[in-house]
Amino acid sequence: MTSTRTYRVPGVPGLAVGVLDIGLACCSLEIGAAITAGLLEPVDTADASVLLISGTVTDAMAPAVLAAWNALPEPRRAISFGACANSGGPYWDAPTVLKGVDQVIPIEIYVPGCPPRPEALIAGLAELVTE
Amino acid sequence: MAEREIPVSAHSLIGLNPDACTSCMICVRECPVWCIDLASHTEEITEEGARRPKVVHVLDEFTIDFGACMFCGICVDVCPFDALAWASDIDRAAHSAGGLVHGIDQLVKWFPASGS
Amino acid sequence: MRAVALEAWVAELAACRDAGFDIFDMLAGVDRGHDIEVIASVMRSADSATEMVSTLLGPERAIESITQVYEGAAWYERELAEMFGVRIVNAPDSRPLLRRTDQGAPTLLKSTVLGARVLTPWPGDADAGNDAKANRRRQRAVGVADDWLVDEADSNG
Repeated sequence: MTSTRTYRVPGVPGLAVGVLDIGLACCSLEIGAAITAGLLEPVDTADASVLLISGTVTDAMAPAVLAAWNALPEPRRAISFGACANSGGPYWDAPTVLKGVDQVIPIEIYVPGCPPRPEALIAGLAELVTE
Repeated sequence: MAEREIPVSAHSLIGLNPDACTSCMICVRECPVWCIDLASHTEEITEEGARRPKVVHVLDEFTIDFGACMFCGICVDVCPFDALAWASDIDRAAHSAGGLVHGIDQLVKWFPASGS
Repeated sequence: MRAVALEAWVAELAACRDAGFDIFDMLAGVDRGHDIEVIASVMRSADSATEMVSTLLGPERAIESITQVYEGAAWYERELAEMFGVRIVNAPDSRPLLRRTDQGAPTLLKSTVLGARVLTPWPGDADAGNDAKANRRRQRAVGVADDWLVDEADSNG
């Protein structure tokens, strides 16, 4: 379940990110909640430049995540959202689960949580701006 | 758009009161994802008038890997000394996976001042 | 829940269908340790009644497919096969459903060792303090079954 949209982030003035949202499990619901709560506002233009991975990355899904990353135009950055994307989370011991999406793509921001609140996503996006 | 208040029930952050911790290791052993590490040593304290020295545990290191933590709260619930508590703040992002591992210095800042 | 003999599995589910249970809900396996139990759940749309039927597989670890009675059981039977190492007799489709390989121990059998938990050092093994608490009963780590770890000292002692 992916969607490519560009979002303005009202909580972070000056930040507009195109987000390719790979929602693989429950964490994706918090991304949806962020949109519903107005923390992310869709705008009408442009390509994604940030890959947002939320949810558990299995061995089966890893190639799709890598393909999505490779398809993003430069400059591109990736955010890992939630325990599963960070480290495998509660499923770190499962043979078919990647112990963190950073096993296949470079991650710039890690947002902890199980799941993180939508506000945590905004704080994580804000970190992209301050670097 | 008003900012939403983050309730303590949100299970966002866990803080530690190192003064209350006795290094009993119960939280370490009960954590389902094995994300708590604790190191301690024992010291003998000789007290005036006591027949033998008292042995106390001294906490050296306490780390939680918030990248693996699933914020279930079992550690908070099971600590017999209430040394762990929820903090009503949002999760803190990091720039590396290692940056999500926090030790006593950070965990003590997250422990609610008034105690909950 | 009604327990039935393994030989009567298909007939019992057919009887359910004939009694008006027209909706197939689910089929699941349970590793009881000494045996594998298979449970089927069906529903009757007329009055929302539900029925659960179970059977034990015995050492053969095989069960007849009920897809001739309930077509919807097909995917559940594929999952039962790959997760518990059960052979589905007369299966219309024997491809794995979720697992990407038929190699390796069946995922949901209790006897299947979760390697990561065995090989990863458990933080709870660190003894509190530097005194030898040799007499303390060694607590089993969360997520590790009793028979996964064999202490060499114990087996020789």
